[in-house]
Amino acid sequence: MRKLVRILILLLAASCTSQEAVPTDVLPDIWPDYAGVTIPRSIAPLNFEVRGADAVQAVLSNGSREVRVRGSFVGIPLRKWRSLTAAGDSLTVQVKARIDGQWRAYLPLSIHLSDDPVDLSLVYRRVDPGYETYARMGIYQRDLASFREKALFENTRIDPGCVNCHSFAHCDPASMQLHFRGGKGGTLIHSEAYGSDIYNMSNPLTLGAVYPYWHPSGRYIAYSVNDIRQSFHNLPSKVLEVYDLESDVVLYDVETRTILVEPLLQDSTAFETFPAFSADGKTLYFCRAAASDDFTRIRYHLYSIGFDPGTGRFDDSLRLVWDRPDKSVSFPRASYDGKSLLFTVSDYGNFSIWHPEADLYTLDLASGDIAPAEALNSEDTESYHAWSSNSRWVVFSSRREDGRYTRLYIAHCKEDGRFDKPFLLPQRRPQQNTLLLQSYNIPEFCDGPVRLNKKRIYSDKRTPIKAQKLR
Amino acid sequence: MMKRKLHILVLCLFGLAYWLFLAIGYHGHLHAAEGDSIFLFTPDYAADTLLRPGGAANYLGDFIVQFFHLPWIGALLVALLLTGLAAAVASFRRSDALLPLALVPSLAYAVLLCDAKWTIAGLAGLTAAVAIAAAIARIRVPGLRIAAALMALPLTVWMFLLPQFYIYLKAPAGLYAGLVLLTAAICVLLALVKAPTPKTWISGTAYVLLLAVCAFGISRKYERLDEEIDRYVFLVRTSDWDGILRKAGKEELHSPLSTNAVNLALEMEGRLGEEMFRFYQRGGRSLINFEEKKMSSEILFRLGFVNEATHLAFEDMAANPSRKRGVYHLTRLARFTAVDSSNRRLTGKYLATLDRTLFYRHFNPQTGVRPEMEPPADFLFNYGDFQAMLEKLAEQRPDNTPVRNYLAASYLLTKNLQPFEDRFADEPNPPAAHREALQMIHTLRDGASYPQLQQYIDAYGRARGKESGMGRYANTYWYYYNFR
Repeated sequence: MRKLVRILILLLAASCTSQEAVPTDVLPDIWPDYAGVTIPRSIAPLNFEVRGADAVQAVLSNGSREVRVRGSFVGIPLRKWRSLTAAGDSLTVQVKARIDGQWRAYLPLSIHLSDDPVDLSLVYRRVDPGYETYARMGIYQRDLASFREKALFENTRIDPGCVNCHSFAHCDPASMQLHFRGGKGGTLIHSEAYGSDIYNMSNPLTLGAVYPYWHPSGRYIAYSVNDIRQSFHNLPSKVLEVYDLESDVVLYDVETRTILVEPLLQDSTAFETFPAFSADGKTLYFCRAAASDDFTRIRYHLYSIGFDPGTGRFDDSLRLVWDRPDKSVSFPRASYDGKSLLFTVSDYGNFSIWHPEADLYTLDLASGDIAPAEALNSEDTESYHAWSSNSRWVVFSSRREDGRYTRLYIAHCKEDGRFDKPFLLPQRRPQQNTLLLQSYNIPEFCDGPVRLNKKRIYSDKRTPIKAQKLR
Repeated sequence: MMKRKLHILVLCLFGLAYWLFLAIGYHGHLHAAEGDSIFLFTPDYAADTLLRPGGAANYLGDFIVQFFHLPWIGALLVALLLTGLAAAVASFRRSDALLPLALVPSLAYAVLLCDAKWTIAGLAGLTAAVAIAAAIARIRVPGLRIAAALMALPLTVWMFLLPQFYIYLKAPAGLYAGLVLLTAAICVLLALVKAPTPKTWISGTAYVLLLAVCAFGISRKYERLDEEIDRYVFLVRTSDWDGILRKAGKEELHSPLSTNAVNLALEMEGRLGEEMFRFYQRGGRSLINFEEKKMSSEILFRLGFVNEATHLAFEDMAANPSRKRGVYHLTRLARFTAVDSSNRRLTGKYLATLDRTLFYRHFNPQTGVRPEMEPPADFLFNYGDFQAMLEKLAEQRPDNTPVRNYLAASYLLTKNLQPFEDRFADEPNPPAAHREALQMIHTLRDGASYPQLQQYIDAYGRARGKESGMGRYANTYWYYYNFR
């Protein structure tokens, strides 16, 4: 019996130690790839696994403190992680992994710590990366300092239920909008300054309201108004095409509950979409394309128009900001510090999430220089993106993991406007990124808890709005 | 004591009968339920399921449903749950007088389970709730019993009695609530009533009546057509072409979806053109029905419309009423996406999920479809004109035999003979249906004469265009052309 116990202890010891680890001269093949990324100090632990390994040991150090972790993956306890990220300017991670029964010791990898704070949370939609049918979906708020995710609203109570296009004014939950589609459709507009209600955005002058962007003052929301269609490709490399038959841009005055229609943004020979205000609120950026029945020939260019927040009126001319005949622009987003504008570029159309070639580009608003955001882009789709409230971080959606299920990446933006290597939104267990059969959609930074009046949403009451032509 | 033995005997007989009914008469339904469901051995799945209303019941239900993969085992577990529920209810009795009543909730659920909207989760939740109540009722210290009941009541309701409410917003929620209340009322009645034990024949009659009502209910609720479709879907899902043709050879086809399966099986066995008119056919819908996405996605896949097949498979998953990504959805997506090597990571994602299941952990996504069957040039898929889609793919991929055969079948079924002749007149060895169609075209247009066709025309003349009397030609295209 004693002999047996001794053998068991020896076996256990052998399985738990890595004293015979073979040194290698390569970095560990970790997933998610956190080697060399820059993170905010408040971010949740960057748990990771080593590909092909059934056991992993890691020693994380910030120079003054060490944390040792072991298991089938590297899952760092939150409190210990906090003690590491609180000091120093980078973490060194020394990894040993057991692959095919053999322990290997890898070169240490670094994780850079930034003093630039990030907002408290992300708000995103989790949705099947699908086609037509509304499956289970919801809007969720994810605490960035931990793994807590709170369902703000799930479509299990509305039928047929689609919820979309949550949007905040400058990452502030005090001003929020959210659409509900289907039988009890409506738009929640929550404004601590101007009141909250669920509106029926249908009006005699336009088709309703789709893609929103809040004015920094919180008084206006610019909307695109789109008649959206989708078709299905037969080529293996292409899946789905979402396109507009018609689209315009309108302005909604939250205070007067009125849709304001500017004729310059209602050109019947053009499609206008994806409006976004500049940081000072005096310019509205948007995408504009010559109308066409052939969606493969539609290329959106980046335009802007001056806006006077005092009067709620636009200038009387459009300005072409970027025009590449072989490329199409979507989702312009100006940083809140007024320095740059990030947008998505694909070969044609505006629904870039289904375009593997879609990449992110930056426009330096001071110099006018435009360039691909190389650090953010991959071989696969990069699409929707949003700035943190201090403009030091961006979150963007990417399909680089598997080509279909969108995941969220966060990247640090340096003072010079260039980006550091992005990191995948950390999860308690790295596997969650694989096993979750939903996409993350429309990520927005949000600097406080979002509170929705769900009873009001479930009710049938929808408040009508007014509409008015500006000229 | 005699009554108790009788009760146990009836319970065993009921369990045995229901087990056999499910395993033999309803295994298509079991396979369908299993395909739409999933049970993962992961902490995230457990947390995501258990932390929702009715989550414990759903967790138990999903655990049991995974065994529907082996219908005899799955059916046995359901039968055991039903008998367990009856036993738990019976444990409340104060005397044996009303013992037959203890069977009522189980019999009612046995009937309701014939409706796909009624879940095993509901049964598991109800059984667990009654078992918990029975355990609490056995606590001897009154104060402790009351305290335990007060604590357990809200927790039990939240964990076990809300599955139907959570999953189905409308249909059976009210009825399920009624069944829960009825079960509670029976438990209370059994616990309160202490009456003299009735004679054996009275109890026996009560049991016979209850079982007869249950049998009648099952016969009314049993959805024969759905069961037929579910069985064909399962045979297609498992690529059991021989099984489909054997089944179709034995019994009549009651649904266009069954015909879809038979035509696909014929094509996969290389016999479509030769034998399709041996089976009941009616128009283009005999080939595909886009309203039903399981079968149509499998058909499109095997024709080389892999993108569109994936689209429909995905829609089918999204439209799953339970909102789950079931094992059939995932295995299908794994197979479909595995055709193109560029999807390797995506296929891996589905396989990674399947790796966490009991029966699909080593699932091998054999496709049987080559990338060379897919369209090399893009076009948008149009559900409204399947024939045009077949024409496009046949033009782009002349070597895609299934598409070519389906195109021919589509022309024949829709009696669109001119393009059929244009494309298929020069086939070196035309199969029977093609040969018959070409002979008919030549005879009608050019006055050509073929002995067998002439015999058919003569018989048709004798029958004065009526179907009766033409039975010996029922397997020919001529017969289809005239009478379908």
